[in-house]
Amino acid sequence: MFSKSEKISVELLSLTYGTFVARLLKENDNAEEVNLQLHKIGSNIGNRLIDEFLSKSRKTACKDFREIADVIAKYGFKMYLGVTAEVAKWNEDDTQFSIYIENNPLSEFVMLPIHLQQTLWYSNLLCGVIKGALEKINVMVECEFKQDTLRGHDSTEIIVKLVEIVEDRYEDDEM
Amino acid sequence: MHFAIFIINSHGSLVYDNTALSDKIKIKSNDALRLAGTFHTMHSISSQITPESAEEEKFIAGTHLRDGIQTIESDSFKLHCYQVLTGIKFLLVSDVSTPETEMHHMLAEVYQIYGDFVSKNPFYEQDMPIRMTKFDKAIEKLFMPSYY
Repeated sequence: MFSKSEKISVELLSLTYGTFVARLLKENDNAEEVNLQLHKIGSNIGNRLIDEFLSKSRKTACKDFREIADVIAKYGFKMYLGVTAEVAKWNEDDTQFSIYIENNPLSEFVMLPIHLQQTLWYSNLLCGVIKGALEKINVMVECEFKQDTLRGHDSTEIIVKLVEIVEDRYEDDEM
Repeated sequence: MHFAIFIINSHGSLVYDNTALSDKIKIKSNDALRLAGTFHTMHSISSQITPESAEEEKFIAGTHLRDGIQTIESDSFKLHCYQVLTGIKFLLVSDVSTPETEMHHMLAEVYQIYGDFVSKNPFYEQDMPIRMTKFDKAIEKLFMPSYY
């Protein structure tokens, strides 16, 4: 399934993403604002990407949140970034987990300037994509970075927290 | 032989119809819209009267999409509905001799084309009617390969 899909070079992707983030930083003087924008853009991407993902991966409905996590890490990351990620740190009632990305292709050539190291989540787009994609299959999550090697942490970690699973309902007309 | 394709978005409105696969079906665009709405309603009723099975209760994502109508068969045509997890329905109308597996397979292909040409088109607004020549071409190519 992964061999069939079209490929682009990692360099092209990471450099394009880099210029894109640099541009956003130029237009907004606040790194927090850039984080938000990246998240929002990612979420819009996720909204659209999910259909391609489902059609090409031929995945059917997941049994539980754990399976969702697995599919994201093993298939989602593999399909779009060419790397697999690890799922770990489940909380007790299985509503929160962490994704560890070992070689994040987006940040391959990146070094953050010191004044951004405490504020900017460089790859925040990924969080948005996860949130946006799951939203379309009625699974509402919150997703944020916990650690990033760019900031000097040991690993890159994204936290995904389940908010709720929405059921489509048809309300009765008011009498 | 395939007669027509319809795509219905998750809110029940028709976003795409193509009856040009053969010249056997002629339908006015207003009627197509109404048909799509009616089918969406019937589908949702049918999924509500589907008894819950123990297995289904285990699924968390996509439980709202309990299978409704999958195939309608008549003396002269077959209609197959392929509903995906995001709630979009792909309908294919074919002649009676077409096996369902083939119809299902064709619609899965249509879904891939949808992912490539519709979702990825930055100028496409979600849930709006699909008017794109590239998408049309890809569909034509899928259903009438001999022309290419």
